[in-house]
Amino acid sequence: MTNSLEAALARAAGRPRFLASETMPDASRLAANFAGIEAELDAPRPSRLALVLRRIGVDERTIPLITATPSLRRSWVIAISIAVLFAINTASTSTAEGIDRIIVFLTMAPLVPLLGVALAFGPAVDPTHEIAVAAPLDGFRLFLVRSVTVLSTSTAVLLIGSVLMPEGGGYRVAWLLPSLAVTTVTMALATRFSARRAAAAVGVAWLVLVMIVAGTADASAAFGPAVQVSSLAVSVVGFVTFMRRRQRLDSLSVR
Amino acid sequence: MTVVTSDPALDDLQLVQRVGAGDRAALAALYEQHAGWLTIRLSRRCGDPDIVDTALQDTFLAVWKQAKDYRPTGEVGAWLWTIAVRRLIDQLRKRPPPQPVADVLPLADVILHEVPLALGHTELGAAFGSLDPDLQAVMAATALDGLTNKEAAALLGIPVGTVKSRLNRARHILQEVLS
Repeated sequence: MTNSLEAALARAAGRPRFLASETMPDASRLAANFAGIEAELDAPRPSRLALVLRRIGVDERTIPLITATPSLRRSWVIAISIAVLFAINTASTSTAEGIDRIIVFLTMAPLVPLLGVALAFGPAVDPTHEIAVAAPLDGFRLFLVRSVTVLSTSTAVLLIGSVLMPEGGGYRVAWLLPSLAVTTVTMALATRFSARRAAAAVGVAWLVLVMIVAGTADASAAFGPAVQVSSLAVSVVGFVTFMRRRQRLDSLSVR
Repeated sequence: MTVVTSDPALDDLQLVQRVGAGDRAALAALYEQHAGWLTIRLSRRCGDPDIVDTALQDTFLAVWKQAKDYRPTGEVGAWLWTIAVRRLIDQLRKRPPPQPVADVLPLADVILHEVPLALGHTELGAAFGSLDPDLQAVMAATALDGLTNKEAAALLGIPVGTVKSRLNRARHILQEVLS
């Protein structure tokens, strides 16, 4: 008998509209709620990257700074992936031996994060450039957040490329420290010049250096212990300079 | 002259199918039909109009997403209500309402308006009336709204164990009254 009472109540749940002589909620409240529903339906969906960043606990206000970074766009990641694939292809078909097979990859690899940093700022590439100029944003924070995200994505792609390289032994990752060096020097120079000019100057300097060293000695010298140690030293100097001059970024990094 | 009567259930079904196909006008029409009574029934279960409004909006957002998977098993309104009452529970879990004032009985309006309509002036209705208000509320939440013990606990703001023990007590009393 108890069951029959509960069954009668459950049956009533299937007749949901029964209302006993009650006034309907006022029209303005219902209209306001529908406006809320429409606003939610019209709101832009957060991108998959934004959802991932939120999941791993990135600060809600930092997410747009990262996702708006031009050199994080899918086209950029695809482009560097293709470039790395070409480098792998060149290395596999090359007839050279040892480090000579991957010398092109090693020379080009440090330029990828460099380009990424250069393409993270500036009116030509950054859709949020005007907003950043007008907003009371901490320029240093913006610069650091974007540089770090760009560096980590391009380094990840390059590391995958290194693993897939057909040969080279320990030299496969010999680009890591030079890459760090050129990037920190670019960051330091970006406190004085625009990020793009700094990157262009450092990139050319790197290419000239490799050509000189590889030309006077053999190719392995360009990525040998001496270059690795000095890369580390240059990285430290670059980073310290960058940190000491960071106030300048408030007015300059967004140029 | 023939009187054309429209079958509201059929209309609702068509509306839900059109919503499932991404028709915003159909969503507006469905809202027009059902938002009123949903608001009233939600308000009987939660005194905070802000929570009710959020639950109502979440309900139709869920309808927008789920309409394409809707299988017509019963009335569309019943489907809407199952969604609505669970969205309300979600909201209550997120921000529990302040402790109810002692002299306000939980789900008093539900017991006053909805249970009599469900049970009528029958033996069952009389038996239900013989229960304590606390027991009536637990009975209404679980049987009428089809909530699990956990959900009923969130709705009533009491521990799950209390829901279970009250439900057992209610069943025990009803068994004696009805036999």
